[in-house]
Amino acid sequence: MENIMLGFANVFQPNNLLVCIGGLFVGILFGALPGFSATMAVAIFVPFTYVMEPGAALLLLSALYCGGVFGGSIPAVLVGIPGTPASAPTALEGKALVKKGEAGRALNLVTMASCFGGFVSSVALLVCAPLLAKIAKMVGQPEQMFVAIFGLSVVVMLSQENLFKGLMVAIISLLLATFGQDPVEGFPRFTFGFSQLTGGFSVVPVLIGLFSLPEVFKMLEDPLGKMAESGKVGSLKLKLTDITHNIVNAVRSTIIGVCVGIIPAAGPDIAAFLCYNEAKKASKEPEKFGNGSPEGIVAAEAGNNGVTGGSLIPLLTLGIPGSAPAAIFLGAMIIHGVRPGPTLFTQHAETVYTMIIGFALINLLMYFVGMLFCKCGSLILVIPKSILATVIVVLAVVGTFATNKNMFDVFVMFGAGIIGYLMLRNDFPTSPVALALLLGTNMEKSMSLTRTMYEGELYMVFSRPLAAALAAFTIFSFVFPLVKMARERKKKAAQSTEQRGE
Amino acid sequence: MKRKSLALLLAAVLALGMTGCGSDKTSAPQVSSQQAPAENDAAGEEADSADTAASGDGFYAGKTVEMIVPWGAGGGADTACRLVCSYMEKELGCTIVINNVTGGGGSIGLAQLTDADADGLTYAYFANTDSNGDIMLEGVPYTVDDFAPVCKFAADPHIILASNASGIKDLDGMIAAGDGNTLWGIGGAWTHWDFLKLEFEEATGTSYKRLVYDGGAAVITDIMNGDCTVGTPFVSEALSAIDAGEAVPIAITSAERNEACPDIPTVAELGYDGFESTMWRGFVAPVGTPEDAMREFAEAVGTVCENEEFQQAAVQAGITVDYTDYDSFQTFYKENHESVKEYYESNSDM
Repeated sequence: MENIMLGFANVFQPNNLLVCIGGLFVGILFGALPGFSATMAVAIFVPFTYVMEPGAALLLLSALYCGGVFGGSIPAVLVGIPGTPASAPTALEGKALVKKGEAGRALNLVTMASCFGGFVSSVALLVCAPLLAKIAKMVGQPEQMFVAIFGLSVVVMLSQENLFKGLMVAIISLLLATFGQDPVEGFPRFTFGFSQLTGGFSVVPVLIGLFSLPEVFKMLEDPLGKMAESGKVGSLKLKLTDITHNIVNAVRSTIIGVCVGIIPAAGPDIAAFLCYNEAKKASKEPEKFGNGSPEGIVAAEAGNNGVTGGSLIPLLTLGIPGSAPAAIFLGAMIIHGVRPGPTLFTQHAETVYTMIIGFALINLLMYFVGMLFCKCGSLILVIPKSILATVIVVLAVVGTFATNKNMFDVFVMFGAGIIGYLMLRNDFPTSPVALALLLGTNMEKSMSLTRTMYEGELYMVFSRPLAAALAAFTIFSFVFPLVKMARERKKKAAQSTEQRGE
Repeated sequence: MKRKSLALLLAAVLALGMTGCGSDKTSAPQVSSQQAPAENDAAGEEADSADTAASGDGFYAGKTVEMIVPWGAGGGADTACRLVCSYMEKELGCTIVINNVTGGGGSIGLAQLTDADADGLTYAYFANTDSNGDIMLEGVPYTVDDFAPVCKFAADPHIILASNASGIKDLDGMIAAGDGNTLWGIGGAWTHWDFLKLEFEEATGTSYKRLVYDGGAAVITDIMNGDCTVGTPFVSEALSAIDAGEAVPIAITSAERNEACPDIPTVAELGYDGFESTMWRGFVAPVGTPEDAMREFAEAVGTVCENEEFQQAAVQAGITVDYTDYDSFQTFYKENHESVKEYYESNSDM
């Protein structure tokens, strides 16, 4: 308790508060620019923190992390281009709300849900870290395999209008995810002699191309026509019902987010898709999803920000990073002589509690900083599309190049963009590509590990309680939408016979 | 307008905050790297250039050197490189720009090095298996002869860990379990982890089942929950698990005990004389680089490795400093290349 109070005192020092706010500004900026991610923001600033006090250093990194995860949603809403893959579901709903002239409402929902998710996850970090760490230890390779398969089931939901096309896209994308060295023997597959493909397709360039270029092409199709109508931002105010209707949704999504955060190899992107999926299943108005559903936005945002706190739980308690930015945190902590693990909470209590309390505060501050960004950002809608399109292409190229400093990735990005545009024109959903690429590699790795562990007796996997439960969820998740569809068809059939009867 | 001025104000505050942090430099001069983005405050820049003037007037004085790190920022290779380079800058009186060129299992960055001018101003980070890239990876445009070896600055040992659930308590127990069915966690296909396993099996006449993970953290997680029986993480990765009593340390793979964990015996002292298997970290230049320049660079690395302040920072970062000078590194480089090649060719199915 004393340490918690000390943490409070440290966080509220003017210096540290400045670090938090500064970090949020930079983080949100990184998140908002397509091609620049939370991971990158944290990585770039690590060397910079070497000269700071450990507490301040961790606060800066936390602020960058939270800001980065949130920032991606601003362009997702405004121009339909997710700044990071974790905002892809938000883009689906945000675009539709902007068309309705409710950009302001969407932005406020995003900010509110993000802060809620982030804040609750930091409370989870403070209150039940040791308990959740036990769960983290139960997650082995078989569990990760089922999480990946479970994640893939979201494809069914993302492509309900055209299940066949959605599944086709997902399967082809899963094949793309097998490019590069195989995880066990290191044999290069489908590299066609390009050493650049040895590590497989980099996910980030593909996703930047796939999500941003088609929007640009669409702007070019109609450079002047729709400019006048899309310039409306609308009020940033929320209706009371927006909050009351979404409380359960936000809590559920945050819990999913925290749990996904605990699992290594699954980050904010997966969480956003899973929460979006669950929200649609639970929703009273599932038909609104894809046409500007506030519920969808709240779910995705509370989910991906819930990951931030969650991914620090195994890091702080066991020294195991729960996401890519958390892995960079680990490096920074070691450099500062603050080694994560069970001794952390006794030997470096002050630093840790400063960080955790700071984490909560950062998420509260994020609402104000975030709204400031939203207000400035919404001016984008007034910019003529011809200029906006150019800026987006420049950012996409720079962002792609900056990720790996590699021209090959830029070509991949353009290729993905052109394919994405053709897909959009022919009504193929693009989000299953993101999902399959993000999950495919992990699924293959955990599957081959599970196979080696349980050689010859694979059914023994189900003796693990968590794995069995996840398997059951997966089956439910695949079957549920189909049953629902069948039932609706039956209802329709019944209605039509009734009508005929009359 | 009000909004804009508020944003400006906050930006100014941010810049001030950064300056404040920058001036901490004098009180905590542990690690300062010019790699820190342009926000580096003016005072810091001046201090650095003053350093430059004070240093000798060798080949590098006042010049800018590009250091290619073929791995991502914030990782083990990157941390080690940045640490050494920040001290090197003072030693050589030059600016070292670290360029993380990732992808292709490290081959993209090294290919970029072989394309660079051999003018003594471009170096790259290099480790055990890199010289065999053309055999192990497809489409790699360089061979062992395209690099001019410069020096080695670190050799990180692995700690052999066993899971609590396995009941293995010491090296004898582990050797008894080496019947081909015990799971041995590998941190990545054909990284140094694989070679350590092969060397250990050859020295002790055992065999284990290879379980290939993506990174050392995943191996440790699975050792903690008992899914994986043994594994060989690096010292900095393993200590948390050992302190928590979540895994049993068996032995360390360097020739001597490690400063960070002096209680863990070496494999050699447990009866396998001469056993040593470490992942070394060094620098290479494009072939054709003037020898004088490389010698000056290598000597500066040597001086940095003697620096106590650097040594302390290295221990904290989990890096085991082990310097090999220019002349000895030439033979070391060739021997290492042949040995890795032999192990790879006799053990891969390709």
